[in-house]
Amino acid sequence: MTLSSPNRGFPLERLEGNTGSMSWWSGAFGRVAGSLDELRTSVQAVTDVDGVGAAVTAARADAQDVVGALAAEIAEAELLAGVLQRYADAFSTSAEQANGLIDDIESAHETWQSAADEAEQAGLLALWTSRSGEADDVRRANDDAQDAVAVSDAAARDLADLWEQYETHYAAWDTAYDAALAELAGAGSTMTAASRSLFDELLAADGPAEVLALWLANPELHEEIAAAHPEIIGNLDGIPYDVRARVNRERLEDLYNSQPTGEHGEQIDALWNALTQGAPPPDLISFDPDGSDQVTAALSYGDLAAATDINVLVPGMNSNVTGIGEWGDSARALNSAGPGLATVVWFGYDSPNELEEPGMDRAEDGAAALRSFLLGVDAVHPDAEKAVIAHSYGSTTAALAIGSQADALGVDQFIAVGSAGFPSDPQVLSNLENADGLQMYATLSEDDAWARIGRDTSFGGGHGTVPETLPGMTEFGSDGGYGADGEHLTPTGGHSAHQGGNGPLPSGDGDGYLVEGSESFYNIQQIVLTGEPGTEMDGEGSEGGFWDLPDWLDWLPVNPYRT
Amino acid sequence: MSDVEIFYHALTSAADAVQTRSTDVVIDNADIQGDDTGVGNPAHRATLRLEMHRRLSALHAAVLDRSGEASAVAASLSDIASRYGDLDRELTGRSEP
Repeated sequence: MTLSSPNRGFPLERLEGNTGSMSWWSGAFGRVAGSLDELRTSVQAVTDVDGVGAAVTAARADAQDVVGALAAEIAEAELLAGVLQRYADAFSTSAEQANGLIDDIESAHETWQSAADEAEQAGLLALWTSRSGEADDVRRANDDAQDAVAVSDAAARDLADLWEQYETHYAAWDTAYDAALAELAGAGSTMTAASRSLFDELLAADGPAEVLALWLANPELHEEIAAAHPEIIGNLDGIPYDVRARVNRERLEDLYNSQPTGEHGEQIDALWNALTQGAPPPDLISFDPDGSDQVTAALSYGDLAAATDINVLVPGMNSNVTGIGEWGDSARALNSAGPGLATVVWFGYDSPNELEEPGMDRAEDGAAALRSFLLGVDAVHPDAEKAVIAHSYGSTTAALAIGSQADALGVDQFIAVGSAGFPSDPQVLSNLENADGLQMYATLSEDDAWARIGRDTSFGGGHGTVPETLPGMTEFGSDGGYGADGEHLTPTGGHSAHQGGNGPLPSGDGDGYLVEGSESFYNIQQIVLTGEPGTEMDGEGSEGGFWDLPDWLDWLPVNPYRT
Repeated sequence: MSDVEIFYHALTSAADAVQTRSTDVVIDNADIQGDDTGVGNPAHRATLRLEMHRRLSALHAAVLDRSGEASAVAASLSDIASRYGDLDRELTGRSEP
């Protein structure tokens, strides 16, 4: 269990950050600012070139325009250099100091617990002796008890001193983080003082619940802040989703009308098409075209505000928003399973490619974003049941997020399909297995090659944990079967959530895990509706699969099977 | 040195200076690409990392645009100078006025 500081509740966790990298980047921004300044000087000189001809006059005018425009980039580069270096310096004197205390606090905590136990035992012994023992024994037992209490008190003081230092350093880091964000967001701001103050508070809030409370308490400032910083308000977890949807749609429309090209343009087109086609269209409740290497977004289908059950779909490797068509189909199909359902498709992270998939970097970055998003859903819609349905590496990411906290972030059901493996972090697994109210479900098609490969090729076994065999996990079928009304349910013929199977490896017949009509998707619907899968594992209609071989590849570091 | 020669040299030296600085900018700008500024996700917070990436991506693109615009100014000056130089070459056989 993760310890928390006694006075301020700071978790005893390592604060992530690399001051060397931050300083290097700060230097890089500084070099860009410097070279831009020299460029500005040289272009400024052009404005002084003699001549009255049309060409040279036009060149002078162009030069003047460039000089004017360069000012903004120089200021931005200097700002980034300064903010990052100030944060790096503060991180070094605060976060790194806090990190350095973690082992000491854990050790001191153990020492204190042990001493406290011994003091309690000594006290009980003294009490017992005082009733029946000889005078010398009583005196000796009392002395021992007093000594043990003194040792325990000393250990408690040592621990308290360490916690005090930790809280001081942690709070200093927290302040530095908030200051860096406020400095970035506030540069060039034209907001009124009241809006600026609220905006700074929103950025410094300790979580989505605090963001929501601040937002709801200041309705008169909403329009100004949203207009000044739509890129932040549209993605800030805790802001109500109708507000986010409105500002994100406006930003997307502006971007779409600018006709971006390349992969970026394709992703913008895909989102715009999703929002303007189909009935009813989804809401764009997160949208960040530049924060990551790929466009990140979350689209909600159904009436999120009125939903009693909110599902969040998390895609895996090589996914991006251009796949929103088939993911949107899954969302709509899931909503049609019963009343009160709304489903979010969360493309909120840089999904890994084949080379990145063995590592945990993408999962760690994605988990931080998903964690915040799920806390936001819980803050804004606390009464709704929440299910996370994650495919492939998305389940690795989701497990890391949901398992980051002992209460599972308010998630009620976690469903992993074709998982590339859960993280091997014992704290994460312990949280997942022991969280109150969290039910876990998993399926692995016997024709799914890539999920098995993913589990066995993760660097250092980082995500080599087989979900299907975790304590408390309910495994469900995806190899074909029959529904309650006797309808045939197709098997999942490969790794894909929708189309593609195991490509380029051979695949079996059937549909992806999240295609309506598959046994996998039928079971997901039933789990969301009833809490139980709708078919039996290996029941009637199960077709098995190529990978359903006993003792297959015993030499693998992880047995990728459910048995 | 005639006024025209002075003008010619002013054009070419200005163009060279701008082009050199523009190239320097492009080289330095090549460093600000990537997604790991070292900020990470401390206490599971991703906002600063994402904001930093968003800002550096936008800066990188804007700097490319500016260096392109500056190079275009340099090219304009070179065009003016080269037109004069072409005429002089045709007239005198010399490559410079």
